[in-house]
Amino acid sequence: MNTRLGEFEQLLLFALVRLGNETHGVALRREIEARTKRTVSAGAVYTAMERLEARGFVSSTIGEPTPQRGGKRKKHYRLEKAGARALSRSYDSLREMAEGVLPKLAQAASDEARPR
Amino acid sequence: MQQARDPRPLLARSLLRFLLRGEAGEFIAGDIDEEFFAHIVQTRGPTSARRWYWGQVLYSIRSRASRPDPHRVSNTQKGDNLMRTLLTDVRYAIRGLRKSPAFTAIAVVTLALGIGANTALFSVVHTVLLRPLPFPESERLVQVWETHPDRGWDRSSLSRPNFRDYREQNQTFEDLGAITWTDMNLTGLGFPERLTVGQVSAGFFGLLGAEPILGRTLQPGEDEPGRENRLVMLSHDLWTTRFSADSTIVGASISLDDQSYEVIGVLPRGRPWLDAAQAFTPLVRNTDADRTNFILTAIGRLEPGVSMTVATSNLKAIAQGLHDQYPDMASYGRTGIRMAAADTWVAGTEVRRALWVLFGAVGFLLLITCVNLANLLLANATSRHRETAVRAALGAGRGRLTRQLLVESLVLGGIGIVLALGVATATIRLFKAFDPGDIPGIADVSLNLWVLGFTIAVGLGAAILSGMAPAFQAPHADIVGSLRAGDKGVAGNRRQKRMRNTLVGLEVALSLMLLAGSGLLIRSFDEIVSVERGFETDNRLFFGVTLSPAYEEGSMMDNFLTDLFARLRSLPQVRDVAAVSSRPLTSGSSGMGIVATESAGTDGDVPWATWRLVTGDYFSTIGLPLLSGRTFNEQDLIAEPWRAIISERLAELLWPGENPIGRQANLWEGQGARPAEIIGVVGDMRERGLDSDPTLAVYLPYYGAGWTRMDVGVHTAGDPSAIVGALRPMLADMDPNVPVSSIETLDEIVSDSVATRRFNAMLLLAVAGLALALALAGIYGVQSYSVARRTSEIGICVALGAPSASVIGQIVRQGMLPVLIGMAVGVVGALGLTRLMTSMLFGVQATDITTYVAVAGLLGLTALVSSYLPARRALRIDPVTALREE
Repeated sequence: MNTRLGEFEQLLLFALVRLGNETHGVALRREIEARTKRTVSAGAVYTAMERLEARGFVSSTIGEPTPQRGGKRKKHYRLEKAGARALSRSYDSLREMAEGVLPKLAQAASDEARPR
Repeated sequence: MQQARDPRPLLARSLLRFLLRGEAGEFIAGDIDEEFFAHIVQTRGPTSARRWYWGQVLYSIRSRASRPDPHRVSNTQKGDNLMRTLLTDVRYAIRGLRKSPAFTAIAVVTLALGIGANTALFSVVHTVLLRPLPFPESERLVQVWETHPDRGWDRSSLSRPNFRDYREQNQTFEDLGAITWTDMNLTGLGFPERLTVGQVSAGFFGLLGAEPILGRTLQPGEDEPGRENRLVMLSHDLWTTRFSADSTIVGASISLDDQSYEVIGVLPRGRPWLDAAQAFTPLVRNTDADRTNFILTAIGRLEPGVSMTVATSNLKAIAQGLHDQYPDMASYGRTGIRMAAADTWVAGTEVRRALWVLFGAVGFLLLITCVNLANLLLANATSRHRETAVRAALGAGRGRLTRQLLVESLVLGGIGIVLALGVATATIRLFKAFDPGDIPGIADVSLNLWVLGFTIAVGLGAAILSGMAPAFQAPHADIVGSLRAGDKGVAGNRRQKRMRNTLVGLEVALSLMLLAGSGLLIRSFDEIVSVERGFETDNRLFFGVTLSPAYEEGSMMDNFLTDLFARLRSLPQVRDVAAVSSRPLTSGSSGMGIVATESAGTDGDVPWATWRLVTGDYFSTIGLPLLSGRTFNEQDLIAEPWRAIISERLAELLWPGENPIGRQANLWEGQGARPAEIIGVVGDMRERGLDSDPTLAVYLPYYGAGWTRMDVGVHTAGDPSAIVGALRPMLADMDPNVPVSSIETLDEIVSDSVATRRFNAMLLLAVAGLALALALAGIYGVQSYSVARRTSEIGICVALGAPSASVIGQIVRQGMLPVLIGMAVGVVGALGLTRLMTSMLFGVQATDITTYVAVAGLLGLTALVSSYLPARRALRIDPVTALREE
């Protein structure tokens, strides 16, 4: 099975670790928006979590409908061992590759240093 | 009950509900809603919150739509073949549409406009014409009139004693109810206000089946004299605007015309009848009332299983009995009965007809859109000839190719539908902004599930219809020929050319019909506003004043008038001031029979005239000329003795060719005639509306009448609105309990009286304009296309030295042929269809030559330009390049 994680999946799993288990979609979405300053839709969160669940990285339980949600139920997510492993593996690879190149990266990204 | 408006955008919510189904839909919508209500609404403004909601919905839908299919792996062996190829078709279609963005944009925008206009009109039609009444078993509800054919009245209100007799003697109604209207002053609550009050029989709301939202409605017997009748039911509107929706209002007392009334209930929101007045009081039974005072509007609920015909003949028999029994009724000749089913209550025949005509017009617009789209698709398919041929050569069957084309137009239709909902929302908002005031219930018009269903059906229908043309063409393609000839296609594919020309002709024909219809309405409007009114409107202002009944005593009323006039005249801008019992262009009085006293009792016709009470300066105030004799002065009191001023036409009817001044006429002939001296003759004016004939009018002195409900007219030097600010303080200083109402300039009164016509004409003009634009785009497209296809041919002609005029001439001639044929067909169609509009016209015939010539000229000229522009481009073709392309 493919155990690699996409960037958005990593963000979601980190958010789940950060917020603890039994977190639902709204909290995940807000966490990612607040930290990364990018706009995320509820549909994207749900779709990605559905994919992660199919791969055994997270599991979910379905909660009771609440009036705040117009009588709709919500899903609570829990990080599975496989998901935790996949996330730390992804992060390790990222860190390995980033090792020692950050100054260079910063230079490449800045305007003045761009070679003509 | 009025509910707080849902802050979530309706359209986005419905999209979410329709496009995201099942569990995913539930969780996603739940997340969005939870966050929306918990955070977004609190921290952002309403617009920003709506934008957030829209963003969430659209991005959620996109991420659901673009997710990889989770079942893909298992599906590769053998899936549902049809579904799979259909999906491939959709994907292929989307790819194709992305490749030609200009084509896609034009197709989608025209579709959105066509479908959107239909959706908007359908929402109006649905709310106004199709939605059932808010009353149980409304099919048993009817409205009842008397008819007096000898007087030419086909819908007469009922007199109080007659109504009572019908109600007690009939065997066909569960109950009959009656309402009449009056004005009362609501005081003691901040500012005084003049209310429209409906006086209703006790069973009125009960027979409708209307349940009060608070308290109760009138009980049987509460309209009997001698019982406590000072009871009032509040309309929902009054309850919310003046009583802040106070739920403890029942049992409280309010002051109407300085008398205390007990509030017994609050009616629900809705129409009809529930909104017929601001408050409702009992119509107290009056035993000795006049049988010829026709003031009651009557409704009834039929016994189950009784038809209107049976009920009509039942009441007719009773009417016959009353006619024989009471001599006063005899002077009105025979009495008949007329009934109408309740479905005309919300919108009268005129409004219904106008709405259907407009709905038909947008239907035409949609047809034009379809034709245009078909043409576009046809051109698009032709230029993809080679691609189609390759697919056919590779083994794609006819059905497969046809389906591919249909799927493509369905995808276009789908996008069109979504955009159309936006167009419709905007259009409905425009309707509400320009509401002429007599489209009932327009405030309630909104997109609902019915409308959504209608839009989807219309959109898909339009897409399939438009997709037909190229789909039928595709399989006929000559594979070998197409492959060999390249994308330029088979030269002179006659079948396609004929089809394109037919479509252009059709577009032209449909546009011409719409243009003719809107042209006729605009001509009518023009006729109406320029009709000879008899009075002048500039720098004139009217306002309403209602005095409490205390003023009816003695000369209080007359003193009030004198004081008011003096105060108004002291304003520097004021030139003339007068009071009148009802302002121009309102229906005013019930009218009277009038006859020259010397010919009374003979068998001649008794003219029926409207009457108004006026003070002496009324005629100069509204610029109505005094032709002979004199006007009233303060010593002319009504009935002491009777003196009257009459309109010119009436004078001519009573005393043809003679001087009427000083002659005697019987006023209220047939209703206790009162001989009066004619002291003046004034010009004719259209008292009852610009579109009705000048009225026969009788003017009587205001002084002495004790008529407490007056309209005051003021003629100013310069802009009359300059004095508005001074009015309320002036009146408050005279009597703090006197409300000032309906302040309007005479220009506004005139303009309001034709607002509906203006609205209809403008709407139809907008539709016709859109149709014309689409037709011109169609002509232009076909011409450009044919020029492009014949590049090499034209190149050769030019290379061989053909004069440019003849080359252009030939192309334009070919382009204009279908236009001319289309125009001929359109004229014939328009002559047939505009006949349906006859009752909406004024001063023009449905076959008005000027309109047809103007419309045909406009269409012909613009079509000529549209077919000339692409032709001119042909000349810029460089012969060498053109030949090399071959």
